[in-house]
This record gives sequence, structure tokens and C-alpha cells, in this order.
Amino acid sequence: MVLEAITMIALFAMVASTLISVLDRFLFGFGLPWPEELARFLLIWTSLLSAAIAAKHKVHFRLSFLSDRFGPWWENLIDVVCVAALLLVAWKGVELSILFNMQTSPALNLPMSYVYASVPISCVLIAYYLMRNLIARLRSQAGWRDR
Amino acid sequence: MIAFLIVFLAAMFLGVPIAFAMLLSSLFFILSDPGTALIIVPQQIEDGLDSFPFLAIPFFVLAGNLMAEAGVIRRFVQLAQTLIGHLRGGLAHAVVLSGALLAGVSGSGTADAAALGSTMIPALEKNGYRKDFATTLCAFSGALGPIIPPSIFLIIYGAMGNVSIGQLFLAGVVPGILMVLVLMLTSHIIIVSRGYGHLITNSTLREKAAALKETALDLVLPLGIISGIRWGVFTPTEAGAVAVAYVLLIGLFVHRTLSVEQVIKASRETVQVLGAVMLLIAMATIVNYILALFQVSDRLAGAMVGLSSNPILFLILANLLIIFLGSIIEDTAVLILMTPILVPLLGQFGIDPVHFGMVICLNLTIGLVAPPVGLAMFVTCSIGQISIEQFMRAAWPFLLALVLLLLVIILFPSISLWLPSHMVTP
Repeated sequence: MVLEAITMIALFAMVASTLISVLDRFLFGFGLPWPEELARFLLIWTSLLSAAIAAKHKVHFRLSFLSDRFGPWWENLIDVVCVAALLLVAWKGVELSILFNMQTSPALNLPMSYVYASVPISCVLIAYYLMRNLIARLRSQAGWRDR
Repeated sequence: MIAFLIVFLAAMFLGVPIAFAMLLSSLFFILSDPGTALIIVPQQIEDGLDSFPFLAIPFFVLAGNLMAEAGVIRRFVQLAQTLIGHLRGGLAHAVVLSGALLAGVSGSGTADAAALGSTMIPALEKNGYRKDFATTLCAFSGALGPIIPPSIFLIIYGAMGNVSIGQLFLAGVVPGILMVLVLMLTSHIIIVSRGYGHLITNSTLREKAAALKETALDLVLPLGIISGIRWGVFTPTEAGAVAVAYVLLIGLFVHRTLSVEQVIKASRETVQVLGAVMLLIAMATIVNYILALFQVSDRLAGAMVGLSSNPILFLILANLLIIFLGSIIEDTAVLILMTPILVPLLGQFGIDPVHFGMVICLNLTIGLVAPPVGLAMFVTCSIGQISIEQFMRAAWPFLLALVLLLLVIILFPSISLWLPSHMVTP
């Protein structure tokens, strides 16, 4: 819920910041460099956080015609492999953020690590939702067997 | 290289979500290659998403969702019906025309088809059209979404292939109008041969004026987007932000058909679409980085030119490839995968990338309403409650007509290139 609220607010912040740059060009002519940069950074964050929401709702595109025949254990295996891969990327993402700790963005003077932190945080969130769905599925499979 | 592709295809076919299949195969390659460090994975993800043109995707998806919530479809249908309701099968033609108007605001064919289907399938049935015809008509009218600008397909193609999105949007106008005419002609033939559409609605000039007045504020948007881009007033991304603001203002304060809850619902749907599409783009950036290491595009170009340097042959081969891929993978994913590979080849054959964008886009749009994985088809079938088989039996004349239109667009580049050649660059 919190995650959805954050992404929705960021969505409208992107709209607002792009509008500011349009208004600036037509009305004020300051040639502000920051609204475009802000909108781009927000897009990175929103996209990756939305990917976690999409994982929660299982709307990432996939081909299921073969895997449906393998039974539930196969899907569980896929989820575990994906979680492992995401955690690996998250770890490398932390390294990248630390690497760019000293660099700041040209217009906003924002440390680039704030932007690069989006990868590890989102990867962990996606992994969390995959695990949650996996555990829910395991529970229902176990319950089905009990009956 | 071969191992990389095998891992990717195997993972994808074995049911790993496509974005994660790209990630797994990339990780597999990097781990097995001592020359590449894993840190390029997060780096490429950032790089791929850090793009001003891509901002247009959430903007136009949001604008379309907000318009749908604000009840624009009912107003557009009303307008279309007063304008052409006196023709035989007027309601059916009004559906196509509403699809075109809707496409001028929204960038997604599937969303348009769903919106049209839920309003118009019952209305068509009430007027004596059979359910299968009503359902296919709504699906194909929704498919105007990606052709008539704005279009998510064209944004992705332009941003990934380094082609001007403004020019691509303008390129869609003439083919879009042709597609409207083709759909109307096809449905006219079906209507006459099946004996539908005797119920016609005549409306007076005053009623026409009233309907126009009611939709005037909605019609400003598609016209404003096209002319703003045509005269270089704003970029497509900025047009998207302006569109969102405009729809919000009109819906919340002028027409008052939009509530805060509806705004939240529209943005929630936008976020889900955004997550699926942008993760795919992020992961495809890593794959493209690896493909570039192997100079795949160069080699492919060499192989193709060795075969033949005929641009028409290339276009037809490329289209067959897209149709093949589009029949197993979701269309957006095909576009994200293939654009960076195919666009660099165009120079060798002297094909204009704007023309190619139009061709690819129309091809994928046909894929939206065709089995086996057409999303717009699935959505309308579930709304109209008909089976895919019933859909197919009713849809083949439309499919045939669109394939013919695709051939015409392939053979005559000037249909796509005439309007963009008159664009003022900002």
C-alpha cells in the first residue's frame, strides 16, 4: 500500500516537473535545467518500484504454455532462481551506489548514489514479493494436500 | 553467444517471466565471461531507464486511463453516432470512429479495446448485431490506439532506436485514417452480407452541434497533441504531461465527471502497466549491451546484405520475423527486443527509420487482435464472453483487410513519410 502510494505520488511529480519545464520555456524563459533531470530520476525510481508492484500482482509478461504442464514445483523453482538472481543484482547495485557516492548530478547536485540506490532497493522488493507469492502458493498447495 | 541465446530462449519458454529470462541469461553470460564485471548489470539498468523520451510512456498511459474514467467514451460514441448514425450500420461505424477519437488520446490498443468493448458490445447487441461481430469490431477499433498518435509502441520504438518520436507520431496520422476507412469498409461489407444495421438514427443539425459542443473540450486534446508536435511547440514527452494536466483539469473542474477515487484508480492501473513495461526495457538494455559486445547487428546486416540488398525483401523478411515472434511473445516485448537489433540495419537498405517504425507498429498492432497471444483479443473476448474460436471466425475479414493495409504501407513509404516531412523541429 505504502509502495503504491509512493509510486502514484512520484507519477504526478513527474507530470508536474515536466509541466514546470514547459511553462518555464513559454512564460518565464529561465531555462531551468533541474525539472528535466528530476523527471528522469523520478522515472527511474518509479519504474523500478512499479516493477515490484507488478511482481506482487503477477503481471510481468511470461509464456506459460509449457510450464503449466510441469506442475507447481516448477514454478516454485523459477521463483527461487529469480530471487537469487535479484539478490545478486541488489548486491552489485549497492556496490555501484557506493562507487558513485562522491559524484553529484549536474543540475540538482544530488549524489548519484541516491539515484543508483533504486536498483538494490527495488530488486530486494521484487524478490520480497516473489517470495511472498511463493510462500502463499506453498501454503495453499500444502493445504490442498491435507484435504 | 550461442549459449547466451539458448539460456534466454530456454528460460523464456520454460515459463520464467520474460524480463527475468533476460536477466538470468545476462547473468549467466557475465559470470562465464571473465572480461565482463557484474557491476554493469545495475549500471545498464540505470542507463536504460534514464531517458527523457520514455517519460512519455507513463504520461500517455495515465492520460488514457484518466480519460476512460472520466467517461469520454460515452461522449465520443454520442458524437460519432450523431455524425454518421444515418448511414446503414451507423452504430458499427460509430464504434470505429469512437475508436479513432479514443486513439487520439490514449496510447494503448488493449486499454482502448477494453474500454470500447465494455461500453459498446452491449449496445451493438441491443441493436441486432451478433455478439461475435460486436466483439471483434470493438477489438479492431481499439487496435487503432497504437497507430493513431500518441502511441506507446511508437514511443518505445523511437526511444530504443534513436528515431524522432515526434516524426513517428506524425507518421501515424495518414495510416491511421486509412485504417479507419479499411475497418469501416470491411464492416460495411459484413453488415450488408449479414443483413445487419437497418436501425439507423437520424439526428438534426442542432443535435449534431450539441454533441460537438459537448465533446469540444475532449477533442482539443488529440488535435492539440498533433498540431503541437507538428509545429514544434512541444516534444512528445511534454505533450504527454500537458495531456495529463488537461484531462485532470477538465475532468475534475469543468465536466466534473472525475472523482479523486477515479484518479487513484487510473494511476494504480498506470503503475502496474509501467512496472511490467519498464522492467522489460531495463533488462533489455543489459541484453543489448551484451549483443553489442558480439556486434550482432553488424553481423546480421552483413548476412542480410549478402543475401540481397532489396529493401522490399528486407521489409518482408523483417515482417515475417516480427509476426513469428509476435505470435509467441507479447508484442511490447517483441518491440523492445527487436528495435535495437533491426533499426541499425535500415541504413544498409536505404529504408527510412520512420517508415520502418510505422510498418513494425502496424504489424504488432495486428498481433494485438490475432491469436495466439493478442492481448486486445483476450480482453474483448472476456468482456463479450465469446471463445477465441468464435472470435477467429468473425475476425478473419478484418485481419485480411489489415494485412492488405500493411502491405500497402510497406510498399508505399510516402504514406507514412508525407506528413513528418512537413514537421517543424522544435
